[in-house]
Amino acid sequence: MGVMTMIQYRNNTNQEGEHKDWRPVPRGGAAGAEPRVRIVGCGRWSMGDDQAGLVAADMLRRRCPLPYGRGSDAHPLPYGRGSDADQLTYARHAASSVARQADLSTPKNVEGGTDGRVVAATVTLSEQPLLDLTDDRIGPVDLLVVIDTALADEHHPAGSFQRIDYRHGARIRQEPVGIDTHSLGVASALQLADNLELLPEHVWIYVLFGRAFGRDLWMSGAVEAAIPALVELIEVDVTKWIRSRPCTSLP
Amino acid sequence: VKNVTIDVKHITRVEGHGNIAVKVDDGEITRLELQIVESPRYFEAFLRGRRWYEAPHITCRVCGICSVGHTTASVKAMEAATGIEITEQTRLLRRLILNAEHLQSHLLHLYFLAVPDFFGVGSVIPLAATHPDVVKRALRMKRLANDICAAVGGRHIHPIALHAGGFTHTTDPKELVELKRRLEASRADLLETAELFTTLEVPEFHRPTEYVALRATNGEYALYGGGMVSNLQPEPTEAGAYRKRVMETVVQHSAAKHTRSPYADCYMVGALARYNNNADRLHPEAKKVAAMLGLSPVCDNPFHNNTAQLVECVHCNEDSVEIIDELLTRGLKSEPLVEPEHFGRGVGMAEVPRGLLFHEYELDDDGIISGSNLVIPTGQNLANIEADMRAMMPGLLATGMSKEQITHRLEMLVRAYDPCISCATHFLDIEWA
Repeated sequence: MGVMTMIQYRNNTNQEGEHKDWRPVPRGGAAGAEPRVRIVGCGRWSMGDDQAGLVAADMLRRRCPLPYGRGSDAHPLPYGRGSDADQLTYARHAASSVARQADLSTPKNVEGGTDGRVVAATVTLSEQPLLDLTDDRIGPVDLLVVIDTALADEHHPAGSFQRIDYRHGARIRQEPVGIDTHSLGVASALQLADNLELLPEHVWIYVLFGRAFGRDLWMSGAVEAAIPALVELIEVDVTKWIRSRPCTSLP
Repeated sequence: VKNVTIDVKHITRVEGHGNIAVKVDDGEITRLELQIVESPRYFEAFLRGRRWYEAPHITCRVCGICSVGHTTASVKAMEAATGIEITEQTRLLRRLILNAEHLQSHLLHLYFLAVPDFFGVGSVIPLAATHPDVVKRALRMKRLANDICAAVGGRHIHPIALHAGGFTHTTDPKELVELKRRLEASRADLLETAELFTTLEVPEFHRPTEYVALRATNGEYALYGGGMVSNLQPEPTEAGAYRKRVMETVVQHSAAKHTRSPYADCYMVGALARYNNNADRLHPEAKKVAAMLGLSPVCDNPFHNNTAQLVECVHCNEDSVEIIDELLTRGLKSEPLVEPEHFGRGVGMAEVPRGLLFHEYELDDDGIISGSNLVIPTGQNLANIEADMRAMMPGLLATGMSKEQITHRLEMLVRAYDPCISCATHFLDIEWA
């Protein structure tokens, strides 16, 4: 929810290359267990490019074949766009999936250039990241993937995207100390979850850059066009990460 | 202290942008303003020309915190303008979702905006590191309230199932059973919250004030229905006559109008006003918590608005359990939306977390909105906040507080009102060509 403020780099490693500014916290993942992945797409429906995180997570939730971007329009997203008459229908459809947990624990072969990889994850479409990212009912996970949007700039044109490791490298700028609740966005939610020791060691944030964050039923063309590639990247990254884990059953 | 200049740009931990400007010269207050600098919103202007049934869905976007409250006032106004009579199931569901909004908003204010003051930290984020159990409890209760909003209204915020004439979605009884279980479990969290608040030192400040709220004729603690009363005028004013009771004026330093009443230059709405007018209607468990926190009507210390919010949380929690029981006993059924009988003028009043909210619409013969007026709780409180600050300043100056301490106390006062400045800024009346 909201547009994340991007990006400044911090030097958070010491001379030995060790990370020094995150505290050890209880991590999920008992020995021998399959790594647990949670994906949280953040944004606000009907707010133009802001909904990109929700749409991307929804694509992951529905799993492939992706609705579009691979030469198939057999599975269009259920969201209306354009006409006034579609608006309420659209909203009702959206409501049925907002912030509901979709358990993707059943492995699924994903077609389309992904070599039959298996991705299992719990996916949340969140319009309220403060509550969803601090939801201790979900149980521990080993990898948290957050998808959100940020305002494009001269270095990050609309439609480009980037992965940030929450604990290393580029970071999300935090709000000022004296915050109001309008500022309680993804950055605050992550910081709050971290302080509550609810974040796993591995937290990735996929940031999709956009420009149109006003009231609009649908995203701008550049952002919409980028989503299939973003989803693909997330699948590839998550699959590689799972394969790198010692206990995975992935081939 | 003889000379002080306080210039707080953007008071923190309130909704929206407001400044405090105070100047004391030679011991005399020469300037004292709560400046509302948020941009106007224009909702009243762009409602014109829209169809009657669109108003609730447009006006719910006035606020992300009070979206249920705006929807409630809007559907009530539109039903008054169209002659729609709703069913008892609709009324119960609206009361349930309004309770949930009060819960989520009050909890957000108490834990995220007000409590950090008492713990001496700048925000809830450092509080999470030092007092994780407190913050987890707050999040747990807020999540429950939001989930009730989603189950009844179709979304956690900006409900989409609430329409003039009824609901377009029938809440699943299984969801209600589960929500009731969580509400019952939440009693322990609320009790711990009350115990926490007994340890917090509430500043002592008293000023005789007119407290304005709804009061129902059916014995309910009035959030959804009732007439407008006050401690100075217990005779109820019905919605259609609200303009005789709420007089809006423009002041130079505020992008939100101020209001006065026929009985006082300024007045207060909100949890404390509701409590002062309806304490006898609270659920017995809420009365116990009020007693535990030392609250009794008529309380004229605005800092106890926080206390009243907590008391209301207990009431809303218990009332929601009872409403769910009633809904389940009656049996939920799918009901068609009630259609309008005619098009005319209508006013809707509802108690939303920050106080009494009015929506007024004028419809033409085709059901197109030709005029509207929204009177927001925070706008009604602004003059009262300034009056409180003006009355409080001499005492603060006399105690020898530093400028920083005075500033902090004034900010605490503003925060105690839980103002939603974003909602309140709307006064410009644009006549589009």
